[in-house]
Amino acid sequence: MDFLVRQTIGEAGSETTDRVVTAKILRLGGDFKNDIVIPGLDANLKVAVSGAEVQLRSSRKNILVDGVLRRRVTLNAEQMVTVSGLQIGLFPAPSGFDVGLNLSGRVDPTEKLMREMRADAAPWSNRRLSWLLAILVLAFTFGLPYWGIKDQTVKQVVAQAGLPSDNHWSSGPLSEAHRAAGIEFTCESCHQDEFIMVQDAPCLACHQTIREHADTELHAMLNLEQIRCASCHREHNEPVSLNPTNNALCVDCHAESQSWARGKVAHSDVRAFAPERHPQFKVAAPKLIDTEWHYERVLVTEANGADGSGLKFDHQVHMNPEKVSFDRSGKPLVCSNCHSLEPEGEHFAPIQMESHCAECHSLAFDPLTPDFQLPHSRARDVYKVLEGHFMRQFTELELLRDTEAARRLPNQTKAMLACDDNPLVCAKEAAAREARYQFQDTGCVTCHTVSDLRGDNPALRYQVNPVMQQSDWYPKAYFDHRAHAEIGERFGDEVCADCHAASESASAADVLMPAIEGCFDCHNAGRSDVAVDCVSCHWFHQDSGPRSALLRAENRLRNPNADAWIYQWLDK
Amino acid sequence: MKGAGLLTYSNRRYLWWAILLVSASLVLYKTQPASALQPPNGGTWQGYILGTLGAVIIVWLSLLGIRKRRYRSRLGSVAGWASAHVYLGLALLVVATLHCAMQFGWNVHTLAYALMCGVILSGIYGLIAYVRLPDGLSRNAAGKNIEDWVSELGFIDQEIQTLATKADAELQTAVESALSLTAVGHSIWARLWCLDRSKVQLGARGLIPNPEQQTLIDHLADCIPKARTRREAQVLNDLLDGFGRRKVILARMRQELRLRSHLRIWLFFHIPLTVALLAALTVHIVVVFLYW
Repeated sequence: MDFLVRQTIGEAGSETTDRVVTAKILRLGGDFKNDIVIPGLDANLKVAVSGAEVQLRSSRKNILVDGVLRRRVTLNAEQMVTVSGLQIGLFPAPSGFDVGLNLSGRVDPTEKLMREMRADAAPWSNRRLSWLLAILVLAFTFGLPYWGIKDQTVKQVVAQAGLPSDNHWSSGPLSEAHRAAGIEFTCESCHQDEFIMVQDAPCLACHQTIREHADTELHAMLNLEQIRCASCHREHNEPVSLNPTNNALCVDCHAESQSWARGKVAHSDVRAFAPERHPQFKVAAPKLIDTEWHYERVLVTEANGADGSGLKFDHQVHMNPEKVSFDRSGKPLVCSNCHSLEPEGEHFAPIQMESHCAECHSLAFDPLTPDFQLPHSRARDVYKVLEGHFMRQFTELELLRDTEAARRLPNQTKAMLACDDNPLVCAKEAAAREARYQFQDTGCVTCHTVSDLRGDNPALRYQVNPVMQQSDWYPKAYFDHRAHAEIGERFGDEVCADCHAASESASAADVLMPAIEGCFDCHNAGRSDVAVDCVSCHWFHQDSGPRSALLRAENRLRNPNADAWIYQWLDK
Repeated sequence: MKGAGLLTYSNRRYLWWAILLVSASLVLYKTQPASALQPPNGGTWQGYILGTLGAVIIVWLSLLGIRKRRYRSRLGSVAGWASAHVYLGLALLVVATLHCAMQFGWNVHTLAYALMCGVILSGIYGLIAYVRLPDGLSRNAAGKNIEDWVSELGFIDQEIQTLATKADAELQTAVESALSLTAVGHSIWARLWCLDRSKVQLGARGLIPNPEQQTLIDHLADCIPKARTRREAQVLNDLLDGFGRRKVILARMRQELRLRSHLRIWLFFHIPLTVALLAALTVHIVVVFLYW
């Protein structure tokens, strides 16, 4: 399409300019991208041929025809239309042209300025942006996550696309232990019912071995099994630990324990870990009654002589370097030679005869056979070994009697040959003599207490009393030896001796456990020392009694509405 | 100080309300034990109270938009509402911060807090604008209505156009283009910061920037000594005079636009952010109890 554009300029229309544009649509406007630039024209105009008609379209409703503003008009040769002071009309196109367009007059520049002055300072209306933001917020923070709860497919799509999910409803990070697969990003693993507080079932599904705080039958009035796990163990609750450590949790009840214990249990009042506010420690002293071991709780300050372990041991001698030291190195014994800490940090492995005593205390008994040792076993087994040994010795000696070789035997062996009886009788006599020596004078009886039953049968005459090495003197408390192994620049035996006065003990019946006063040197709630909370040494959930998982499941079966108050409240 | 009434209304009555509210919130916050079973946060009973208080304040503050349109309402004066809106809105920042105990995360709760901060910050900007800018507006208009200035500009432009027909074709083009390519506020940014993107078509130099009409004024001043006739010099002189007056009026128009834009633009954030905040606040409350 060829347009001939004739523009009248200059004073009183004194000059005209002609311009040729070949295009499907002729564009006129203020911008320089237009075919015909009309400086100051505040609209984009398009001229196009449609059949026999020439149409003018404007980007705004500003084409003035007969006093009416229009957006689109059909141009004709008779009438000029006006756009912002610019007059537009047609003139007969010369041959070779399709359209002859006549432009005259001037665009009023202030019209554009006035429009700029009246324009809104904001790109959109407040209302439009308000709707947009509100819909975005509702859709992305609630609609989409909630849809995801109801439809797992949606949830997966949302997660893959990185869009907000119900994870973004979390009020804070989970504790480290719960940042596990199946929990961390799976809100519904704990939040099982909408608008209902987290119940115990999801907790106990994993924590199946946890037990209640106290005997639920003895303390039935406390309704312990009806207290939700989450009422103490609060998640999304940083920076506080999931396991509450505040003393009030304990002291609230235990400060005046008799008010609720009512004599049923022998609790002492505890107010804090400080002198006169925490009771003295009580050891669990082993005691053999008939054939059963019993543990008697004895105040540690009165516990010397209470260790009924069945052993004899003199720490004082063993720790005196002038009396006991290693043969080869000449070094004295240190605590860790016998006491090795278990990996859990609190208890020590039991003392073993073979590994801890045998290096010095050999069980050899016959100087003729220094490598042959008694078994560290029951008395009757020991006797049988003695009997067998001497039978072999006497039989072999009998063969030697009156030979040349016999004259070269050591004196001790000659003395043995003084027995004129047959070897069997001689051997039995020798075994009984050695057993008496081991079980009454020195040998087994050095470390063990032995009962002399005085029967005729020498194999059954002696009985080594049972042994119990108590490793858990304070069974209701926890102590981490690792945390106390170095104090300042001191370590090793020096630190052990701070609490365990072993070098002064001459009897195995002594209880070498420290009393509470030693702890107060560093831990005293009355001063600003190294803080200890109740749960630093004690634990809340007991190690005996019914498991919470079973108890609470039963409780729910018996009373399904136990925690249904919220439903009732919602129904109202 | 047109907007100062916002702050001084009724002897700063609402300032004292806000101080009381902030003090009570601080006392309430402090009653939360520091290292207990429960750290200070929205989940303690104090947190619930602070949260409820915050939510009620947010809803009430949003109602200003409704109250100011209810001309027949007798529920306090709009001036009183606006004053309370300012002080309680500022106090809200403290109440909400104590409610969340400065715990933030990548979640819907912090989104609500962030939106609230956006609303309050835009409000603070709006307050400053209302207190400081109206004076500037009346000073700039210099006793006239700004429309008067625009119509005066129209007269000047007509004079300039008539004068330009007496000049040569090149100068006429330059003058016409300077008139038609004058911009006062072609974009939001230009309106806010008084940017002048005017241009002029100046002969061989082509289309070049004409800020404050200065390029053309300099060109006219350069042309005057080179005028060959007295008449030509007179035309140039008159054009120079016209553009000088034009420059002053345009500067006033831009200043007017700048001040009006600053008085308006904060609402473009304040109101939509408020509506978004109400949505986020609703989601915050619902999901806290949905996943109790």
